[in-house]
Amino acid sequence: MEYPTAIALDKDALRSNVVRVTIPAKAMFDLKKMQKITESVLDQLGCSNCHSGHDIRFDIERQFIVDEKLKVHSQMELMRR
Amino acid sequence: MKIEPLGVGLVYIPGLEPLFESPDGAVQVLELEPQVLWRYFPNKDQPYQNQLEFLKRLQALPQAKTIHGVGFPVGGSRIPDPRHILPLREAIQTLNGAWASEHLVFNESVDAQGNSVQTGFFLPPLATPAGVEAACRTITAVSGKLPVPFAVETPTNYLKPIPGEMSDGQFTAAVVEAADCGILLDLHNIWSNERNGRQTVEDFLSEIPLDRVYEIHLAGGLKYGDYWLDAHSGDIPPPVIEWARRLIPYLPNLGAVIYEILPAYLPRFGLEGVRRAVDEMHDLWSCRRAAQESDSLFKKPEPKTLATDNGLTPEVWERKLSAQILFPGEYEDELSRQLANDPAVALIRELNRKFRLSAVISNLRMSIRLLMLSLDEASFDRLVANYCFSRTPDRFAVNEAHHFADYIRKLDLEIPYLYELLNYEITAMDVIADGQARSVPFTTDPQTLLETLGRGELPVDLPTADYEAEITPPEERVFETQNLIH
Repeated sequence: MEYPTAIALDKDALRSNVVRVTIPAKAMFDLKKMQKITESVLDQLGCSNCHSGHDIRFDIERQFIVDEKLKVHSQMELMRR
Repeated sequence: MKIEPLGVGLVYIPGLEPLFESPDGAVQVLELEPQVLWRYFPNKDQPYQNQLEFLKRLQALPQAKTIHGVGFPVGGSRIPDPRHILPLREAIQTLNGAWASEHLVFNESVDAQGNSVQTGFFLPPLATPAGVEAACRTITAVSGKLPVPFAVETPTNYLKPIPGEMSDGQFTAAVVEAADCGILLDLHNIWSNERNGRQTVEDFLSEIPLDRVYEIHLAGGLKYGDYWLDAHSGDIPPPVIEWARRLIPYLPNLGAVIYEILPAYLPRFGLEGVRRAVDEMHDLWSCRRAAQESDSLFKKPEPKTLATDNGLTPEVWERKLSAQILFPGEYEDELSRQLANDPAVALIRELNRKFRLSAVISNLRMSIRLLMLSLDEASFDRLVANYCFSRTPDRFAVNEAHHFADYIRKLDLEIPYLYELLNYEITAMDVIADGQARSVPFTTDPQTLLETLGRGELPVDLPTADYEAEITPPEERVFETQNLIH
């Protein structure tokens, strides 16, 4: 599914000190990294659809952060060499 | 009650549309969990609202439809919020649902002060004659207001059996006979219960009235510590398939066999995995036959002395079990101590915490990501544990996200961009809910901020400037699944 990621710049607003931009409410700014997660606005706000098992959405997010932190640490190690 | 045989099908989740739209017609039934799609407006007289346009699109699909409730179970002593009946009826009527079902569990109780609390997890009802009476009252209070036949789903129960309770099969049989309703037989649940030390599948099936089984649920699960979880995570375990194969010829009133998978597992399992499950179910469906009255799959069990009330009332059971899940440490009596020593209680607390966090993540992903990037793991886990202890769960993800945001605001953390990000994501929820665009301020370029977090990087030293971001509602995206990773 195509998630809009661009933020349209309101050029007229550049005349003032406040920059006005537009952001879609369901922007996926991390589409490339997070494409393995199915997201849908349809079930985002309602009842959770399973209440006796294991919801892994948080585990997926934590693994993503751990992987990214390890990658960053690894890059820093390389830079020190 | 004679149930029309509909065939094999799937619980609808976003991403399965290619299977529902496939011209081969392999998926014959679409089961909808309507509450998953409800919008919640707590300040309105009717707080639960269907997305009618979406329901109509589902109705246009060629499958027969059934309705499966997920938020307002009927196994406890508390009758669920009566305001959920109207949108439930609306969903049934819009989809022309053949029957409706709900879980034979409870998810509401009261705290020590008598305030209503939601448990955040399906919990087993008290399996005594008093528990049967309570469940029957609750079931009939709901089923009597619905225009279609009603069935209750057999649940998982991770707890150790307690002294004096009926077996799971006896309890189910007594409830459905008293309430005169059908059974949604979740074979994976029953098999999980056996694996986790409760009644065997064979004993359970020998005790329930097989002619009341309207529907079978099949699903995959996973090992988690010492337990087998009803995770809806992929392949149906072969022993569950074999039980279905043995059983189905003896179900004279079977209307459907339905496969369930959670959306988070679909990318890993793939549409072809779900399609395999559909093929397996067709194989099972072909095992049906005209059952003879003398047919019997199991030797009738020896008559057992039914449990007598053990002094517990359903209300007390529900309050004490809920307290152990929500307010650990309150050991006021023998039952509470016994529950506290059951490792399943700690398991449920852990699963409950993950459910709650997942509900928050689905709405506040960038704020949570910034928190995780800014705090070490132990500090983040402590923050989450304190949040879960400070506030009881909510069945609606939108409320859980609001409560978490309120909690974080009160902490007044010195994490750059955290509060403007929270403000943006909370506002985006409102925009999605009512379709009205809104604006929020940022002190840096929101595109750079969000893209940095999107890469999993901590935003540091971004240029400061005043921005006003207009958050626009999403275009309706229905049946767009081409980016699913299979």
